Amino acid sequence: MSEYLPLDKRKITIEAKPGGKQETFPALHPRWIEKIQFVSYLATPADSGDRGQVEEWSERLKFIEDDLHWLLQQPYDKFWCQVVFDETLHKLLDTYLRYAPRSYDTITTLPEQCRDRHDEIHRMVFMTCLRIATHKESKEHYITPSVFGVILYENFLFDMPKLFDLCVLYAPENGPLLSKMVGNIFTQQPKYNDDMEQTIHTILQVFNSILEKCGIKAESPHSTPQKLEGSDISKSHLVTMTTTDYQDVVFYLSDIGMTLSRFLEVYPNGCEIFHKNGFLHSLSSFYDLALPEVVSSLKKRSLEQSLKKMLRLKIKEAKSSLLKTFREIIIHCCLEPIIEKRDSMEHCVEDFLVTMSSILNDRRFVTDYESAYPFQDDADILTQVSCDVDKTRIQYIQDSVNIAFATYGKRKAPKGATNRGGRTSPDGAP
Amino acid sequence: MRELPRITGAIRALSQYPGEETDDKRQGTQELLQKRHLVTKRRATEEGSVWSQLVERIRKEASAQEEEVTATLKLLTQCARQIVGKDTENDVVESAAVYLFDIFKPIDKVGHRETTKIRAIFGPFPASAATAACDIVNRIKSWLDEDIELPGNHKREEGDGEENITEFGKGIKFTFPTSTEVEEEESSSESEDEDRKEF
Repeated sequence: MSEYLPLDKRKITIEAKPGGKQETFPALHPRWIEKIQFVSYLATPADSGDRGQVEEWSERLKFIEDDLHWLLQQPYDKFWCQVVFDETLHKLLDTYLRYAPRSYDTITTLPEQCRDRHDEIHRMVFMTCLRIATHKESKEHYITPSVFGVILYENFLFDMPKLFDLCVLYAPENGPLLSKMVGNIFTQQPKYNDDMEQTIHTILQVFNSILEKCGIKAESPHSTPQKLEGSDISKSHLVTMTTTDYQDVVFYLSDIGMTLSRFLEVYPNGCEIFHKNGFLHSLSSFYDLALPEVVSSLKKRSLEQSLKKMLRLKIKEAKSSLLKTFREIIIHCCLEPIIEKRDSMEHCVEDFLVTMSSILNDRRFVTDYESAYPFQDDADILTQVSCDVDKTRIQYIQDSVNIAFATYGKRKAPKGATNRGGRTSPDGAP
Repeated sequence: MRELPRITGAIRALSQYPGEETDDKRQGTQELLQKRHLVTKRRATEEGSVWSQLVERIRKEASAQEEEVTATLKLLTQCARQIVGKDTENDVVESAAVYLFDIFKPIDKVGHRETTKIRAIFGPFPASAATAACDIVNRIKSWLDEDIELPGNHKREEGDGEENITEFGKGIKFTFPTSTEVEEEESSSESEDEDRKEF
């Protein structure tokens, strides 16, 4: 047992004033917090040429910067009192995670004079979250792990939206550290796994609401969405909605893809929960219904060339990140256990075949997925494993993929060669 | 700025996670006003109290006549007032006097470094006021033992790059983001076959 008491068990005695009596309080108690009144983070000013707006925003950043420096300089016990009991700090962290510009927010521009300060705040928010996610800072400074999990959860220091935001803001550059941090949060508080399940259902609701906005109706919030009779209706929605609404749909799709793919990259164990809740089938159906319509309507809309180009890139970003999300789950839940020949290998082979068979009707999704992650490569992995693999089923899937590709796929433009196409159809057709 | 659509925003809204929606402009401005008030009040309290302590200590330790000490300290506050502005409140003037005492304590003459520091905090100021303040501080210094410790505004010194406070995360490697740009190349199903009917 450690010679030092954990923070949650420590007490502090206040010296008696003349005539008074001594008082003892837990070290983790609201009476130890300082009145800092952290200010919340607001999104970048709408008009970076408006001096008044920029100056006010810059002043806000200055307060945030000073306050976060102060917070990170606090000793362990004072830091934790502030973190647990100061609601203005909760609001600051929450608003930063929500409204800070993402690296893929191409339309957000920070006023030049604020960039260095914003960078410093970006770093300090990460360090604050890292410190919060660390239950043991040194042998002397720690919190009992089970109590730590309760503190995180009961005070909403982290919740699923915040974890998603953290991954989307920090994953590409600080992945390994973030993985440890998020992993520790889930380890110390398994209730977050239940929250993740709930969140998956919410994401499916969001899929349906996007389809509705695009004029593609879903049967019920939790079932596979179905296209409306007559695709002209859906096309007309996406073509006739305002440019802002259309842009929002595109940005939303990109944000969903980037958020999910980055989260699962940081926390691969989450893939199992997504898979268990039938997310792959819902994702492929959603993609199959929404993305082609969005692409098709972009071609029909009359927009400025620069805007059109930007939206085309965002759609591409949405597609590749949604495909990546699907791939992350397939790799983690099916292919990795097979490659590593784990005990669950046979079950994973079956799971892989069932999953792939279940999405074959989503042919435009299948085509794009095939283009990014050819089925043949995965089939090779399966056939190389020692257990019996039903080659007829593999062939059936391969054939279906080939048909989908022949219908919706395209060959890439020839590069240097004189024959047609760089990539041929999977079935070898010209 | 128009709020961009985000999946985490939808999860918050649909799953009843705590947290308010974006502050509107009025709320944001109100919050900023409260913060300004709090910061000013704290600074005035801290520095006003430091000035009182400094005056008390100098009176106690100085080898000069009490009247001379009082008159000299008054001159220092007058210099401070010239630097911060005539209509400034007393607590701010006293806080500036503490700062001037701190900054001129180790030197005999006003140099470029000191001028830059003062300008950074108080804006443009008359050079004569700074020179006079430096002379006054040196006069006060001559009345005191060299090794005497005086109360001062140490926080400001730290802010000027001389800090030695440990901050969590300073030694942790952090990489800043770079904006991502996807190459413009159509994905597989975006070809001219897009509108081809299913069979």
